[in-house]
Amino acid sequence: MGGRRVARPPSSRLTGLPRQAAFAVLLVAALATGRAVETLMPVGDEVAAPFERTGGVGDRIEARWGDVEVTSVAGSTRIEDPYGATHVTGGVYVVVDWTYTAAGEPQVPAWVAIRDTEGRVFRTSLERNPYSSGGAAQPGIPRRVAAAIEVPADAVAGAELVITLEPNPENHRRDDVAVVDLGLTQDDADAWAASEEPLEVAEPADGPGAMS
Amino acid sequence: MAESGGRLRRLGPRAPRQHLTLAGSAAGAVALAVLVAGGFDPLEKPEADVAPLAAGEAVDLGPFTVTVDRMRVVDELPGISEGDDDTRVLALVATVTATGTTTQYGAMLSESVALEQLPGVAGDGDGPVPADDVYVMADGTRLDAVQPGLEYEVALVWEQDARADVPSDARLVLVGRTLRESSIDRSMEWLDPLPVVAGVLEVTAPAEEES
Repeated sequence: MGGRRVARPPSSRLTGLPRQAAFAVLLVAALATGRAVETLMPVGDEVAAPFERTGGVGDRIEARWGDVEVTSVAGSTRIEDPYGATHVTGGVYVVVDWTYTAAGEPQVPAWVAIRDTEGRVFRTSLERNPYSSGGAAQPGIPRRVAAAIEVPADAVAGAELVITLEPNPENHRRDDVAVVDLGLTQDDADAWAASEEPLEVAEPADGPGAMS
Repeated sequence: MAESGGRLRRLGPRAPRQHLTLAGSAAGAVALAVLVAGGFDPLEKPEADVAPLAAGEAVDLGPFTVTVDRMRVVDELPGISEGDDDTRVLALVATVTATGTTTQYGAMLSESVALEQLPGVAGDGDGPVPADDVYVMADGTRLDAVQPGLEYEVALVWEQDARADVPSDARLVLVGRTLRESSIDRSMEWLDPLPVVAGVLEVTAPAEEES
């Protein structure tokens, strides 16, 4: 009667481990569990694959991050980039003009590539395969852009233009990717491989007239 | 104050021991976490069996196949280097193809072909000096992307201080890479650069070519 209970800290001797060691064991157990779950779960390429929004030349393709419409496709063995330099290829330069309209917020479609029927991927670059997004496009304002990509002539027939935001392909998983069938044939490939007419690669431009 | 000082005195000797325990536990946790995550990748040491360089012979470097043709000094490379009194350009002419199914970038190509130390050619350290840049011979534009399925005749270039003697030959080192899963993000990347071919190539001066 009248006695006061004194709160006693729980004794770590019950577990036989100091608190820090117990924490370390729990941490390792959590990591091991995570790795085991990752190994056992059926996370294949199909689950992580991007969502391909497909269309053809002249189609308006709607993606999570905006609309894409390819307006023209041409080809030659020579191009003239926006800085006036002439590039010559042993294959074919495919020059694609397209319009991009951002959705929701300013966006930069940084990944632009041609994919052939064998699955080969030919990306743009700064100089040899010129493409400039013009920076982040404001939502709702169409932006005309052009990309010129050199490919072997046998990659032309059936080629697709692939466009998305993330420059690192590892980050395309589960995101929208616009895929445009360029409608190209072997006749196009043959004609373009024989053409020495330089094609001009236009600089990006905003505003009215960008969308047909 | 007196009580506080007493507690501090009592706690004082224990504090280092607690830190040691904490550090030991943390080290153990890190070691176990690394083991659970699969451990570190074994570090492969460079092997001594570097094949001799032969002009005209294709060398598989992993991301690229490179066939070295010739090396020359150029005072002027149209569209590439104007040349001046202070510098000259050493240009290695080679044929390059990408081996895979995706675009490889020119920076990796220039890092794959290096010159052993040469007077007047500046490098970051004591090792071989990677090419400053790569240019397409057909049009003189910089090759910043190597597309699969295409063959490029290129000039890999190094700037040399014009006060140094014109070399009669140069030792080249071709560096190969292996396609493997990255330990960091598990993406497939060309990693582990190692010399695979090395040898001396004659350097031709413009005057010699004209004569």
